[in-house]
Amino acid sequence: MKFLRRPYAYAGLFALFLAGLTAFFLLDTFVLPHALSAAATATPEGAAATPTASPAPAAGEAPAATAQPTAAATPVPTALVTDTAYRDGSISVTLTTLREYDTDIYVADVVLSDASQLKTALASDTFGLNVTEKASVMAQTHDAVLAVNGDYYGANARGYVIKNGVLYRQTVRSDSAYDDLAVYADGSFAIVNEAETTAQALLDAGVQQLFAFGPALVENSEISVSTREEVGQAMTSNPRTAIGMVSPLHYVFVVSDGRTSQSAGLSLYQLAQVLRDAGCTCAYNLGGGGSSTMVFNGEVVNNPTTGGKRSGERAVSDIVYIG
Amino acid sequence: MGRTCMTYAAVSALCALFYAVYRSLSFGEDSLFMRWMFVPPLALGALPALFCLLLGRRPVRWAFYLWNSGVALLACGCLFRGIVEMSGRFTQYDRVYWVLGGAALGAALLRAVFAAHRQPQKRRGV
Repeated sequence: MKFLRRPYAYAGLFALFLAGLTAFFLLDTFVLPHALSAAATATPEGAAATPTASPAPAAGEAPAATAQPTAAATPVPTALVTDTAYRDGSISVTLTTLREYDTDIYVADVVLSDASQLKTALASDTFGLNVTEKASVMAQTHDAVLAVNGDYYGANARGYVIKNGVLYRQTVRSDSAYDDLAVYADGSFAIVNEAETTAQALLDAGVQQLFAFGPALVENSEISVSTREEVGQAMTSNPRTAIGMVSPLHYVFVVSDGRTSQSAGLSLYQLAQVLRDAGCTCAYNLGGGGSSTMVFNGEVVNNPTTGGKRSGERAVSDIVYIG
Repeated sequence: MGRTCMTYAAVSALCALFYAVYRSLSFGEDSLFMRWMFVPPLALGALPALFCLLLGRRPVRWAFYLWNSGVALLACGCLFRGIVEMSGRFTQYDRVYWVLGGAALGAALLRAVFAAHRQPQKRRGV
Protein backbone atom coordinates (compact mmCIF):
# COMPACT_ATOMS: atom_id res chain seq x y z
CA MET A 1 0.00 0.00 0.00
CA LYS A 2 2.91 2.31 0.65
CA PHE A 3 4.05 1.82 -2.94
CA LEU A 4 0.67 2.92 -4.24
CA ARG A 5 0.99 6.24 -2.41
CA ARG A 6 3.87 7.22 -4.66
CA PRO A 7 2.84 9.69 -7.39
CA TYR A 8 1.31 7.93 -10.39
CA ALA A 9 2.09 4.42 -9.07
CA TYR A 10 -1.59 3.48 -8.82
CA ALA A 11 -2.40 5.20 -12.12
CA GLY A 12 0.41 3.32 -13.86
CA LEU A 13 -0.64 -0.04 -12.51
CA PHE A 14 -4.28 0.55 -13.31
CA ALA A 15 -3.45 1.69 -16.84
CA LEU A 16 -1.49 -1.53 -17.37
CA PHE A 17 -4.42 -3.58 -16.08
CA LEU A 18 -6.91 -1.75 -18.30
CA ALA A 19 -4.69 -2.01 -21.38
CA GLY A 20 -4.12 -5.73 -20.80
CA LEU A 21 -7.81 -6.41 -20.25
CA THR A 22 -8.81 -4.53 -23.40
CA ALA A 23 -6.06 -6.11 -25.48
CA PHE A 24 -7.22 -9.57 -24.46
CA PHE A 25 -10.87 -8.79 -25.21
CA LEU A 26 -9.98 -7.35 -28.63
CA LEU A 27 -7.77 -10.30 -29.52
CA ASP A 28 -10.41 -12.78 -28.42
CA THR A 29 -13.12 -10.97 -30.36
CA PHE A 30 -11.23 -10.36 -33.58
CA VAL A 31 -8.24 -12.64 -33.86
CA LEU A 32 -8.05 -15.76 -31.74
CA PRO A 33 -9.74 -18.67 -33.52
CA HIS A 34 -12.10 -20.88 -31.55
CA ALA A 35 -12.67 -24.10 -33.44
CA LEU A 36 -15.81 -25.76 -32.15
CA SER A 37 -16.19 -28.76 -34.46
CA ALA A 38 -15.23 -30.15 -37.84
CA ALA A 39 -17.59 -29.28 -40.65
CA ALA A 40 -19.81 -32.04 -41.95
CA THR A 41 -19.83 -32.78 -45.64
CA ALA A 42 -22.86 -31.87 -47.70
CA THR A 43 -25.92 -33.93 -46.94
CA PRO A 44 -28.26 -35.53 -49.41
CA GLU A 45 -31.37 -33.54 -50.12
CA GLY A 46 -33.79 -33.76 -47.23
CA ALA A 47 -31.62 -36.04 -45.16
CA ALA A 48 -30.92 -33.31 -42.68
CA ALA A 49 -34.52 -33.24 -41.59
CA THR A 50 -34.09 -36.59 -39.89
CA PRO A 51 -32.77 -36.56 -36.33
CA THR A 52 -29.93 -38.91 -37.14
CA ALA A 53 -28.71 -36.79 -39.99
CA SER A 54 -28.27 -33.66 -37.94
CA PRO A 55 -28.87 -34.13 -34.24
CA ALA A 56 -29.65 -30.85 -32.54
CA PRO A 57 -27.19 -29.95 -29.83
CA ALA A 58 -28.37 -29.70 -26.26
CA ALA A 59 -26.54 -26.45 -25.68
CA GLY A 60 -26.60 -23.47 -27.95
CA GLU A 61 -22.99 -23.81 -29.00
CA ALA A 62 -22.73 -27.56 -29.31
CA PRO A 63 -22.12 -28.81 -32.80
CA ALA A 64 -24.40 -31.18 -34.62
CA ALA A 65 -21.99 -32.08 -37.33
CA THR A 66 -22.46 -35.60 -38.58
CA ALA A 67 -20.67 -36.77 -41.66
CA GLN A 68 -22.99 -37.66 -44.47
CA PRO A 69 -22.45 -39.15 -47.91
CA THR A 70 -21.89 -36.41 -50.42
CA ALA A 71 -24.54 -35.59 -52.95
CA ALA A 72 -22.27 -34.00 -55.51
CA ALA A 73 -23.47 -34.16 -59.03
CA THR A 74 -21.81 -36.69 -61.25
CA PRO A 75 -19.01 -34.93 -63.13
CA VAL A 76 -19.83 -34.34 -66.72
CA PRO A 77 -16.74 -34.56 -68.89
CA THR A 78 -18.13 -32.36 -71.63
CA ALA A 79 -18.40 -29.15 -69.63
CA LEU A 80 -18.21 -25.97 -71.65
CA VAL A 81 -15.98 -23.49 -69.85
CA THR A 82 -15.22 -19.93 -70.98
CA ASP A 83 -14.24 -16.75 -69.15
CA THR A 84 -17.89 -15.86 -68.71
CA ALA A 85 -19.78 -19.14 -68.84
CA TYR A 86 -19.88 -22.66 -67.53
CA ARG A 87 -22.22 -25.34 -68.85
CA ASP A 88 -22.48 -29.00 -68.11
CA GLY A 89 -25.39 -31.36 -67.96
CA SER A 90 -26.67 -30.04 -64.67
CA ILE A 91 -25.14 -26.61 -64.04
CA SER A 92 -25.34 -23.46 -66.12
CA VAL A 93 -23.55 -20.29 -65.03
CA THR A 94 -23.40 -17.08 -67.05
CA LEU A 95 -21.26 -14.25 -65.74
CA THR A 96 -22.04 -10.68 -66.75
CA THR A 97 -20.23 -7.51 -65.75
CA LEU A 98 -22.35 -4.39 -65.44
CA ARG A 99 -21.28 -0.80 -65.01
CA GLU A 100 -23.90 1.03 -62.97
CA TYR A 101 -23.82 3.61 -60.18
CA ASP A 102 -20.16 4.32 -61.01
CA THR A 103 -19.41 0.75 -59.96
CA ASP A 104 -18.40 -2.54 -61.56
CA ILE A 105 -21.02 -5.14 -60.73
CA TYR A 106 -20.55 -8.86 -61.35
CA VAL A 107 -23.75 -10.79 -61.91
CA ALA A 108 -23.76 -14.56 -62.17
CA ASP A 109 -26.94 -16.16 -63.48
CA VAL A 110 -27.12 -19.74 -62.27
CA VAL A 111 -29.47 -22.51 -63.33
CA LEU A 112 -29.23 -25.88 -61.58
CA SER A 113 -30.88 -29.22 -62.09
CA ASP A 114 -30.67 -30.12 -58.40
CA ALA A 115 -30.92 -27.87 -55.34
CA SER A 116 -28.16 -29.82 -53.62
CA GLN A 117 -25.72 -28.19 -56.04
CA LEU A 118 -26.15 -24.94 -54.10
CA LYS A 119 -23.80 -25.51 -51.19
CA THR A 120 -21.86 -23.76 -48.49
CA ALA A 121 -18.38 -24.43 -47.14
CA LEU A 122 -16.74 -23.43 -43.89
CA ALA A 123 -13.21 -22.08 -43.65
CA SER A 124 -10.72 -24.88 -43.04
CA ASP A 125 -13.75 -27.20 -42.95
CA THR A 126 -14.13 -26.16 -39.33
CA PHE A 127 -17.04 -24.61 -37.50
CA GLY A 128 -15.88 -21.97 -35.04
CA LEU A 129 -15.31 -18.33 -34.25
CA ASN A 130 -12.64 -16.34 -36.09
CA VAL A 131 -11.78 -19.38 -38.22
CA THR A 132 -11.14 -17.87 -41.64
CA GLU A 133 -9.81 -18.75 -45.06
CA LYS A 134 -9.77 -16.98 -48.40
CA ALA A 135 -12.84 -17.61 -50.54
CA SER A 136 -10.67 -18.58 -53.51
CA VAL A 137 -8.92 -21.25 -51.42
CA MET A 138 -12.22 -22.66 -50.18
CA ALA A 139 -13.60 -22.62 -53.73
CA GLN A 140 -10.59 -24.56 -54.95
CA THR A 141 -10.80 -27.05 -52.09
CA HIS A 142 -14.43 -27.79 -52.91
CA ASP A 143 -14.10 -27.70 -56.71
CA ALA A 144 -16.56 -24.84 -56.90
CA VAL A 145 -17.65 -23.61 -60.30
CA LEU A 146 -18.86 -20.35 -58.75
CA ALA A 147 -18.39 -19.10 -55.20
CA VAL A 148 -19.09 -15.94 -53.24
CA ASN A 149 -18.42 -15.06 -49.62
CA GLY A 150 -21.16 -16.10 -47.21
CA ASP A 151 -22.63 -14.54 -44.10
CA TYR A 152 -19.41 -14.47 -42.04
CA TYR A 153 -21.10 -16.45 -39.28
CA GLY A 154 -17.76 -16.77 -37.43
CA ALA A 155 -17.68 -13.10 -36.50
CA ASN A 156 -20.42 -13.58 -33.94
CA ALA A 157 -20.94 -16.02 -31.11
CA ARG A 158 -24.72 -16.00 -31.49
CA GLY A 159 -27.17 -16.65 -34.31
CA TYR A 160 -28.52 -19.78 -35.96
CA VAL A 161 -26.06 -21.57 -38.19
CA ILE A 162 -27.36 -24.19 -40.62
CA LYS A 163 -25.01 -25.18 -43.41
CA ASN A 164 -25.57 -28.02 -45.86
CA GLY A 165 -28.44 -29.32 -43.76
CA VAL A 166 -26.41 -29.47 -40.56
CA LEU A 167 -27.34 -27.47 -37.50
CA TYR A 168 -24.25 -26.01 -35.86
CA ARG A 169 -25.67 -23.32 -33.59
CA GLN A 170 -29.13 -22.57 -32.26
CA THR A 171 -28.79 -19.41 -30.19
CA VAL A 172 -30.82 -16.47 -31.51
CA ARG A 173 -28.69 -13.76 -33.10
CA SER A 174 -28.12 -10.66 -31.03
CA ASP A 175 -29.43 -8.37 -33.77
CA SER A 176 -32.60 -10.38 -34.31
CA ALA A 177 -34.32 -7.37 -35.86
CA TYR A 178 -32.56 -8.52 -39.03
CA ASP A 179 -34.10 -11.38 -40.96
CA ASP A 180 -32.34 -14.52 -42.17
CA LEU A 181 -32.46 -16.20 -45.55
CA ALA A 182 -33.51 -19.84 -45.55
CA VAL A 183 -32.80 -22.09 -48.52
CA TYR A 184 -35.02 -25.16 -48.57
CA ALA A 185 -34.34 -28.62 -49.94
CA ASP A 186 -36.37 -27.87 -53.07
CA GLY A 187 -34.19 -24.85 -53.79
CA SER A 188 -36.73 -22.23 -52.77
CA PHE A 189 -35.83 -19.17 -50.69
CA ALA A 190 -37.71 -17.69 -47.75
CA ILE A 191 -37.04 -14.81 -45.39
CA VAL A 192 -37.34 -15.88 -41.76
CA ASN A 193 -36.77 -14.22 -38.41
CA GLU A 194 -34.86 -16.04 -35.69
CA ALA A 195 -36.97 -14.53 -32.93
CA GLU A 196 -40.08 -16.10 -34.43
CA THR A 197 -38.88 -19.67 -34.88
CA THR A 198 -36.30 -22.13 -33.66
CA ALA A 199 -33.32 -23.49 -35.50
CA GLN A 200 -34.64 -27.01 -35.03
CA ALA A 201 -38.00 -26.03 -36.53
CA LEU A 202 -36.23 -24.62 -39.56
CA LEU A 203 -34.21 -27.78 -39.91
CA ASP A 204 -37.33 -29.92 -39.56
CA ALA A 205 -38.98 -27.82 -42.26
CA GLY A 206 -36.20 -28.80 -44.65
CA VAL A 207 -33.89 -25.80 -44.51
CA GLN A 208 -30.54 -26.72 -46.02
CA GLN A 209 -28.79 -23.35 -45.76
CA LEU A 210 -29.46 -20.44 -43.45
CA PHE A 211 -27.78 -17.08 -43.94
CA ALA A 212 -27.77 -14.67 -41.03
CA PHE A 213 -26.56 -11.34 -42.30
CA GLY A 214 -29.09 -9.18 -44.06
CA PRO A 215 -31.16 -7.30 -44.55
CA ALA A 216 -33.53 -8.89 -47.04
CA LEU A 217 -33.29 -6.90 -50.27
CA VAL A 218 -36.19 -8.22 -52.33
CA GLU A 219 -39.32 -10.00 -51.14
CA ASN A 220 -42.19 -11.02 -53.42
CA SER A 221 -40.39 -9.25 -56.28
CA GLU A 222 -40.53 -5.95 -54.38
CA ILE A 223 -37.53 -4.10 -52.96
CA SER A 224 -37.71 -4.39 -49.18
CA VAL A 225 -35.08 -1.82 -48.18
CA SER A 226 -35.77 1.87 -48.48
CA THR A 227 -33.46 4.61 -49.66
CA ARG A 228 -33.87 6.34 -46.29
CA GLU A 229 -33.38 3.29 -44.16
CA GLU A 230 -30.34 3.40 -41.88
CA VAL A 231 -29.20 -0.17 -41.54
CA GLY A 232 -25.56 -0.24 -40.67
CA GLN A 233 -23.79 0.60 -43.89
CA ALA A 234 -27.04 0.76 -45.89
CA MET A 235 -26.77 4.42 -46.71
CA THR A 236 -23.22 4.40 -47.94
CA SER A 237 -21.55 2.97 -50.99
CA ASN A 238 -19.56 -0.18 -50.33
CA PRO A 239 -18.52 -3.44 -51.94
CA ARG A 240 -21.51 -5.78 -51.69
CA THR A 241 -22.41 -9.43 -52.03
CA ALA A 242 -25.94 -10.72 -52.45
CA ILE A 243 -27.80 -13.82 -53.51
CA GLY A 244 -31.22 -13.92 -55.10
CA MET A 245 -33.71 -16.42 -56.43
CA VAL A 246 -35.54 -15.96 -59.72
CA SER A 247 -37.33 -19.27 -59.20
CA PRO A 248 -36.34 -22.48 -57.41
CA LEU A 249 -33.12 -23.76 -59.08
CA HIS A 250 -32.60 -20.42 -60.86
CA TYR A 251 -30.42 -18.03 -58.87
CA VAL A 252 -28.52 -14.78 -59.22
CA PHE A 253 -25.26 -14.06 -57.39
CA VAL A 254 -24.17 -10.42 -57.31
CA VAL A 255 -20.86 -8.96 -56.15
CA SER A 256 -19.96 -5.30 -56.58
CA ASP A 257 -16.63 -3.56 -56.33
CA GLY A 258 -16.25 -0.48 -54.14
CA ARG A 259 -13.92 1.67 -52.09
CA THR A 260 -11.64 2.15 -55.10
CA SER A 261 -11.04 4.97 -57.55
CA GLN A 262 -12.64 2.82 -60.26
CA SER A 263 -15.75 1.82 -58.29
CA ALA A 264 -17.66 3.76 -55.66
CA GLY A 265 -19.67 0.79 -54.44
CA LEU A 266 -23.39 0.33 -53.92
CA SER A 267 -25.90 1.24 -51.28
CA LEU A 268 -28.23 -1.54 -50.20
CA TYR A 269 -31.04 0.03 -52.18
CA GLN A 270 -28.94 0.12 -55.34
CA LEU A 271 -27.96 -3.49 -54.75
CA ALA A 272 -31.62 -4.40 -54.36
CA GLN A 273 -32.40 -2.65 -57.64
CA VAL A 274 -29.78 -4.73 -59.45
CA LEU A 275 -31.27 -7.94 -58.09
CA ARG A 276 -34.83 -6.96 -58.83
CA ASP A 277 -33.86 -5.95 -62.35
CA ALA A 278 -32.26 -9.39 -62.73
CA GLY A 279 -35.68 -10.89 -62.09
CA CYS A 280 -35.25 -11.98 -58.48
CA THR A 281 -38.38 -12.63 -56.47
CA CYS A 282 -36.38 -12.97 -53.26
CA ALA A 283 -32.89 -11.63 -52.54
CA TYR A 284 -30.69 -11.22 -49.51
CA ASN A 285 -27.60 -9.22 -48.59
CA LEU A 286 -24.54 -11.25 -47.54
CA GLY A 287 -21.28 -10.09 -46.00
CA GLY A 288 -19.87 -7.07 -47.81
CA GLY A 289 -17.03 -4.60 -47.58
CA GLY A 290 -13.63 -6.22 -47.71
CA SER A 291 -15.25 -9.66 -47.61
CA SER A 292 -16.97 -9.29 -50.98
CA THR A 293 -15.43 -11.85 -53.31
CA MET A 294 -16.63 -13.77 -56.35
CA VAL A 295 -14.67 -16.74 -57.64
CA PHE A 296 -15.55 -18.21 -61.04
CA ASN A 297 -13.75 -21.22 -62.49
CA GLY A 298 -10.99 -20.82 -59.93
CA GLU A 299 -10.35 -17.11 -60.59
CA VAL A 300 -11.32 -14.13 -58.45
CA VAL A 301 -13.34 -11.98 -60.84
CA ASN A 302 -13.97 -8.89 -58.74
CA ASN A 303 -11.51 -6.52 -57.09
CA PRO A 304 -11.71 -7.25 -53.36
CA THR A 305 -10.47 -4.65 -50.91
CA THR A 306 -9.24 -5.48 -47.49
CA GLY A 307 -7.96 -3.40 -44.60
CA GLY A 308 -9.69 -0.35 -45.99
CA LYS A 309 -8.94 0.53 -49.60
CA ARG A 310 -5.99 -1.79 -50.10
CA SER A 311 -6.51 -4.30 -52.86
CA GLY A 312 -6.48 -7.93 -51.81
CA GLU A 313 -8.68 -10.82 -50.82
CA ARG A 314 -9.79 -11.02 -47.19
CA ALA A 315 -10.16 -14.33 -45.41
CA VAL A 316 -13.77 -15.09 -44.50
CA SER A 317 -15.68 -17.65 -42.44
CA ASP A 318 -17.64 -19.31 -45.20
CA ILE A 319 -18.63 -19.33 -48.85
CA VAL A 320 -21.74 -20.09 -50.87
CA TYR A 321 -20.85 -22.08 -53.94
CA ILE A 322 -22.10 -24.01 -56.89
CA GLY A 323 -20.51 -27.37 -57.47
CA MET B 1 -8.41 19.86 -8.57
CA GLY B 2 -7.91 22.43 -11.31
CA ARG B 3 -5.39 20.20 -13.06
CA THR B 4 -7.70 17.20 -12.74
CA CYS B 5 -10.53 19.18 -14.27
CA MET B 6 -8.35 20.29 -17.17
CA THR B 7 -7.06 16.76 -17.73
CA TYR B 8 -10.55 15.30 -17.85
CA ALA B 9 -11.70 18.05 -20.23
CA ALA B 10 -8.75 17.28 -22.51
CA VAL B 11 -9.49 13.52 -22.39
CA SER B 12 -13.11 14.24 -23.23
CA ALA B 13 -12.08 16.33 -26.22
CA LEU B 14 -9.70 13.59 -27.35
CA CYS B 15 -12.52 11.04 -27.16
CA ALA B 16 -14.70 13.22 -29.38
CA LEU B 17 -11.83 13.71 -31.83
CA PHE B 18 -11.06 9.99 -31.87
CA TYR B 19 -14.69 9.22 -32.70
CA ALA B 20 -14.70 11.76 -35.53
CA VAL B 21 -11.59 10.26 -37.10
CA TYR B 22 -12.68 6.64 -36.57
CA ARG B 23 -16.12 7.40 -38.00
CA SER B 24 -14.63 8.99 -41.10
CA LEU B 25 -12.71 5.78 -41.79
CA SER B 26 -15.51 3.35 -41.01
CA PHE B 27 -17.26 3.24 -44.41
CA GLY B 28 -20.56 4.41 -43.00
CA GLU B 29 -20.66 2.29 -39.85
CA ASP B 30 -21.51 4.02 -36.60
CA SER B 31 -21.78 3.24 -32.92
CA LEU B 32 -23.66 5.17 -30.27
CA PHE B 33 -21.22 3.93 -27.64
CA MET B 34 -18.25 5.44 -29.41
CA ARG B 35 -20.18 8.57 -30.27
CA TRP B 36 -20.90 9.18 -26.57
CA MET B 37 -17.50 8.04 -25.36
CA PHE B 38 -16.64 11.62 -24.38
CA VAL B 39 -19.45 11.75 -21.81
CA PRO B 40 -17.89 9.72 -18.92
CA PRO B 41 -14.75 11.85 -18.67
CA LEU B 42 -16.79 15.02 -19.05
CA ALA B 43 -19.80 14.29 -16.84
CA LEU B 44 -18.09 12.05 -14.29
CA GLY B 45 -14.62 13.56 -14.45
CA ALA B 46 -14.38 17.22 -15.39
CA LEU B 47 -17.67 18.39 -13.85
CA PRO B 48 -17.21 16.75 -10.41
CA ALA B 49 -13.63 18.04 -10.36
CA LEU B 50 -14.93 21.52 -11.16
CA PHE B 51 -17.45 21.30 -8.31
CA CYS B 52 -14.73 20.20 -5.90
CA LEU B 53 -12.62 23.11 -7.10
CA LEU B 54 -15.43 25.60 -6.56
CA LEU B 55 -16.29 24.16 -3.14
CA GLY B 56 -12.64 24.07 -2.14
CA ARG B 57 -12.85 20.39 -1.22
CA ARG B 58 -10.43 17.63 -2.16
CA PRO B 59 -11.48 13.97 -1.99
CA VAL B 60 -9.44 11.51 0.06
CA ARG B 61 -6.78 9.57 -1.81
CA TRP B 62 -8.57 6.25 -2.36
CA ALA B 63 -11.89 7.83 -3.21
CA PHE B 64 -10.03 9.86 -5.83
CA TYR B 65 -8.20 6.79 -7.18
CA LEU B 66 -11.31 4.65 -7.34
CA TRP B 67 -13.39 7.37 -8.97
CA ASN B 68 -10.77 7.92 -11.65
CA SER B 69 -10.62 4.16 -12.22
CA GLY B 70 -14.38 3.98 -12.63
CA VAL B 71 -14.41 6.79 -15.17
CA ALA B 72 -11.55 5.15 -17.10
CA LEU B 73 -13.36 1.81 -17.14
CA LEU B 74 -16.59 3.35 -18.45
CA ALA B 75 -14.79 5.34 -21.16
CA CYS B 76 -12.78 2.29 -22.15
CA GLY B 77 -15.97 0.21 -22.25
CA CYS B 78 -17.49 2.72 -24.67
CA LEU B 79 -14.39 2.52 -26.84
CA PHE B 80 -14.31 -1.28 -26.86
CA ARG B 81 -18.03 -1.66 -27.55
CA GLY B 82 -17.79 0.98 -30.26
CA ILE B 83 -14.93 -0.78 -32.05
CA VAL B 84 -16.77 -4.10 -31.94
CA GLU B 85 -20.07 -2.59 -33.09
CA MET B 86 -18.48 -0.71 -35.96
CA SER B 87 -16.89 -3.93 -37.15
CA GLY B 88 -20.36 -5.46 -37.39
CA ARG B 89 -19.78 -7.91 -34.57
CA PHE B 90 -21.34 -8.47 -31.20
CA THR B 91 -19.70 -8.82 -27.81
CA GLN B 92 -20.63 -9.41 -24.21
CA TYR B 93 -17.20 -8.55 -22.89
CA ASP B 94 -18.31 -4.93 -22.51
CA ARG B 95 -20.31 -6.01 -19.45
CA VAL B 96 -17.02 -6.37 -17.60
CA TYR B 97 -16.37 -2.66 -18.06
CA TRP B 98 -19.84 -1.62 -16.91
CA VAL B 99 -19.75 -3.84 -13.82
CA LEU B 100 -16.19 -2.97 -12.80
CA GLY B 101 -16.70 0.71 -13.61
CA GLY B 102 -19.91 0.91 -11.63
CA ALA B 103 -18.32 -0.94 -8.73
CA ALA B 104 -15.33 1.41 -8.71
CA LEU B 105 -17.57 4.49 -8.72
CA GLY B 106 -19.70 3.00 -5.95
CA ALA B 107 -16.66 2.13 -3.87
CA ALA B 108 -15.29 5.65 -4.37
CA LEU B 109 -18.53 7.17 -3.14
CA LEU B 110 -18.57 4.87 -0.11
CA ARG B 111 -14.98 5.76 0.67
CA ALA B 112 -15.74 9.46 0.38
CA VAL B 113 -18.81 9.20 2.61
CA PHE B 114 -16.88 7.16 5.14
CA ALA B 115 -14.07 9.74 5.16
CA ALA B 116 -16.51 12.62 5.52
CA HIS B 117 -18.17 10.82 8.43
CA ARG B 118 -14.84 10.27 10.18
CA GLN B 119 -13.40 13.76 9.79
CA PRO B 120 -15.73 15.48 12.31
CA GLN B 121 -15.11 12.62 14.74
CA LYS B 122 -11.36 13.13 14.34
CA ARG B 123 -11.78 16.83 14.91
CA ARG B 124 -13.69 16.08 18.10
CA GLY B 125 -10.87 13.75 19.10
CA VAL B 126 -13.01 10.60 19.10
